[in-house]
Amino acid sequence: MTITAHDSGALTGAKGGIRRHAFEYALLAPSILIVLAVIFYPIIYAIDISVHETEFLEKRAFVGPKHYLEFFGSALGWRIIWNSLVLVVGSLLLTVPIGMGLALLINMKIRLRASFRTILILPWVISQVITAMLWSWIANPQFGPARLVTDAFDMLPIDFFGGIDTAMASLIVVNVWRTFPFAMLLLLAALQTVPRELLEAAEADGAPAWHRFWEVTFPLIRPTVMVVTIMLSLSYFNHIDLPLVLTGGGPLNETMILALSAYEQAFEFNKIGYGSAISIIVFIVNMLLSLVYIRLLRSERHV
Amino acid sequence: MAKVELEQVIKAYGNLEVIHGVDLQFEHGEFVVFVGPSGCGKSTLLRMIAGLEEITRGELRIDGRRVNEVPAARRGTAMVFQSYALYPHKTVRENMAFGLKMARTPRDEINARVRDAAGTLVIDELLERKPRELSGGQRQRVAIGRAIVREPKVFLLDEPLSNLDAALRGQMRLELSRLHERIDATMIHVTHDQVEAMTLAERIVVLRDGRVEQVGTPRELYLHPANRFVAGFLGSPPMNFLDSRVVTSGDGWIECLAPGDLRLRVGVVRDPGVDGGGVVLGIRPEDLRLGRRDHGVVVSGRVVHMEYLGSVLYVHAECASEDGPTWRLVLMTKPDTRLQAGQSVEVTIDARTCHVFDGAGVSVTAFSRGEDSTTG
Amino acid sequence: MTAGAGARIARVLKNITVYGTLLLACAVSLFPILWGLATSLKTDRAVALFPPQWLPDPATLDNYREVFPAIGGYMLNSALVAFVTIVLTLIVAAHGAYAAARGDFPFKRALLFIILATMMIPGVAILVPLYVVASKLNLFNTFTVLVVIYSTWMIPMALWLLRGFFETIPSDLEDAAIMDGCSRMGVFYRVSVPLVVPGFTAVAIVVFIFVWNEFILALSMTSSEEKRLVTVGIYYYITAYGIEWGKLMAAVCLALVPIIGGFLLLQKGFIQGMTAGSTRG
Ligand SMILES: Nc1ncnc2c1ncn2[C@@H]1O[C@H](COP(=O)(O)OP(=O)(O)OP(=O)(O)O)[C@@H](O)[C@H]1O
Ligand SMILES: [Mg+2]
Repeated sequence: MTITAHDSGALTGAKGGIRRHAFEYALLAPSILIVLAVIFYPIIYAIDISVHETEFLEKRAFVGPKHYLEFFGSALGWRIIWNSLVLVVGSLLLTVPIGMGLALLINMKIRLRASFRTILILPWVISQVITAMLWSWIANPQFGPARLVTDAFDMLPIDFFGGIDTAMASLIVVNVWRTFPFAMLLLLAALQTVPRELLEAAEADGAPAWHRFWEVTFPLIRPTVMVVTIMLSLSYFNHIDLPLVLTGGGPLNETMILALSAYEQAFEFNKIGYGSAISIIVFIVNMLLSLVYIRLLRSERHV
Repeated sequence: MAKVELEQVIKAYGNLEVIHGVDLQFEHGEFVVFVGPSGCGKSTLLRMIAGLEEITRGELRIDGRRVNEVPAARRGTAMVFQSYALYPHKTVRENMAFGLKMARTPRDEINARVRDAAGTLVIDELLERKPRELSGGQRQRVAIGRAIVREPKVFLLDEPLSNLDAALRGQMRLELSRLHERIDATMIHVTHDQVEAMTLAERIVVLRDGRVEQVGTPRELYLHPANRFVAGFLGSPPMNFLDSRVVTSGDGWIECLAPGDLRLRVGVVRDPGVDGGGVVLGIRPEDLRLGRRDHGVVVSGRVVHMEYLGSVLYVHAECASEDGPTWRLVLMTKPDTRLQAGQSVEVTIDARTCHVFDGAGVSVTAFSRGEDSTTG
Repeated sequence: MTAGAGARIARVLKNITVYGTLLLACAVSLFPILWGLATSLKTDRAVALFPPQWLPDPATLDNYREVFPAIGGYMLNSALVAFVTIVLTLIVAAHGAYAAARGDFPFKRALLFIILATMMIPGVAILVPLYVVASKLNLFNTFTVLVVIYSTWMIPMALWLLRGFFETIPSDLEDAAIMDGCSRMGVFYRVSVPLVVPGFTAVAIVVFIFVWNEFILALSMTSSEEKRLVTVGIYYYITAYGIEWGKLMAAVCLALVPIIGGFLLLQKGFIQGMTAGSTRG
């Protein structure tokens, strides 16, 4: 009787020829094939479309970097890049400190800690579409509670998401509302790893609270702060749902960001070549941020 | 019941060879124990017999049939793991029945066999529980039960008692012996506990670095260790070793110079080699006598430490040599001996009880005397 | 003693600041949801009042009655797609995870890297090709295409998570199963899989949240009303009716029930899962 090696070998078999590991390859094959087909092939396809002229769904003449040049050669292109940057940086500047502050508060010995935490996480489980709906209604210039604020200052009612001056700021506020729980949770987890003795020792030395934070706590949780920053950047940079529903990129492209623009060009203006070129730019930014992220995780593990 | 034979069995992980050509033969129904220090390959050997580990080269035969390529479940072997490895999601009954179910045994027979095994091991009450609801000892029994329901020809146990506390371990040792008498299987038991090895085994296999050092009954191994490793491994406290030099040799004897200017004349089966070369003399603690006696040379020393075990007393004595460093002897004596640390003592070494190991550690001792002479 | 009194005052002030800040933060978190809930219970006339009526008076379920038939259908669609996605993700990822956890084979690192690297590719970057291919394969406007794409997006995360679970299974247990006569596949199905059920639950939660909240793919891959998932359905409310805020908020509240209910029940799993799945753009 002959049987293959893996039948009699132990599960944790040693390295050997490829053929004797048919079992493992068979197990892994579906995962590999599906990601190759549904993610890798499309990204190649997207690159391919982006260097062609297109007509609805059909590829036409090869045009090389034409779409990219068009994008980077237009004032609107740079405007969109700038908007993306404003949205990402603006949201980060608010979300990370707010998340950090709340994490510090919740990490204290307080009553009802679990309840506070539960309530504070809620905004994060809600989809972007619904978030957009809820906030549109709050900011409704006629009946929304936001008008109470403008009225209090004796101002005319403001269309926050529709106004040239207010749209981006309002979008950032909603973005912060949606994502501060994420920052809070990750930072809270990091804070809980800071040894209490260290803080108590600093307190015994008479260091004031802010000093203890910057000198003791922050250096210890800095890797997490970086990770949170990058993950949030990715999320802000890639999201379409929230700006699409809240502002649609308007008014006058005031809130148009890269990801939304890629979607709009392809699906609303049917310019799939041009849209793909923008989406490839999004992809490249993602790769760069991910590489930084991987670096961070690596160096963290080595420390 | 089955005869188990290993012939030039080699195990290599990639380029790393961990078992280097082992030859062993076990008879029907024998109780064999593998001992050896950690990492010597006991588990690997056992797992190769079980069919969990591929045999790189060589042949494994059960009842004369080559089984290298036979899947684990069809070799007629069953195994008890150190961690018990009970399926946490199955009840005790399901754990025990699983192998039979896989072998498509009729349901009635499964039930009957599980009932029998549970009765034998006194775990009838536990059949509907999950493993996490059992104590360590109970899990142990279930693990054994799972093996015996399959009525194996070869019963393999990899350090099954090492997770139990001392009292339970003693009890399970007895039960394993009884089990062996009752079931009809060759048992191969792995341990690094020499007490377990000595008490359970009909034959002991001493392993070291993937090689067999010696095979024999507990008595043979204890009285006639084939080499210095086996001599030092079995026995607690271990044998005393004295680095010595051969001064003169004759037909069947040599005279050695041990530390402290001791001259000992011991019988050998062959000349250990190089004139004036090094040999090692070995003496068991129970072969040393306190005080001056007939037969033997006397060495004086100072008591540094005592271990009172109730039935015996072990005395650690430090002896000075003329020019060399101090050396130690451990000897066994009656528990009521009155001694104090620091006290001077004299110890008699009887040359007839000495083992001699040549430069390579191989025993060249001539055992002319009867076995009784060392048991006094 | 004055020093003691001073310290006590400082402590009280500190408490006021701490609890005050937290309460304010909670108010901000909850306000949009509660305001939406209040609106959904109002009559059309009460919705269009300024200054706003904080508590619905009279409270009515009319809005819910009106939106439920449509929204209920969308929710059912979402639940169906989520369920099939969970099953497909688990089946594919569990096998891969097991190989990753147990095997030691040539190119293992490279193959795993291929799978995990896909987490770096944002959905928006491949939306167009997916749309084109789906159209050409006649899969446009089907649940099938949604399930396949969602699963693929979730598989790397699930594989990673389950691999950790499989690694905790002692190899003795699997050896015991081999001794009991299982093939390697048998070991996997009969012993390993039952032991990682908690991992399956964690994956199921992540996938459910993801599918329930996903919007842009569902929007671009479907066209007919009966294929709308819940987020898309709500989105079309705006465009379909002009905005009837009472009804829209009723729809929103209905869509929130499973997600908030699930969150309150399985908080730990939710937090774990959402942290794991949060990078998918
Ligand atoms: N999968 C493997 N790959 C490489 N080397 C291995 C592997 N498994 C075991 N070894 C090596 O084989 C040798 C024998 O291991 P084995 O587990 O048989 O020792 P053991 O005698 O059972 O030790 P212990 O008493 O600690 O259980 C060890 O040196 C070990 O490092
Ligand atoms: Mg071992």
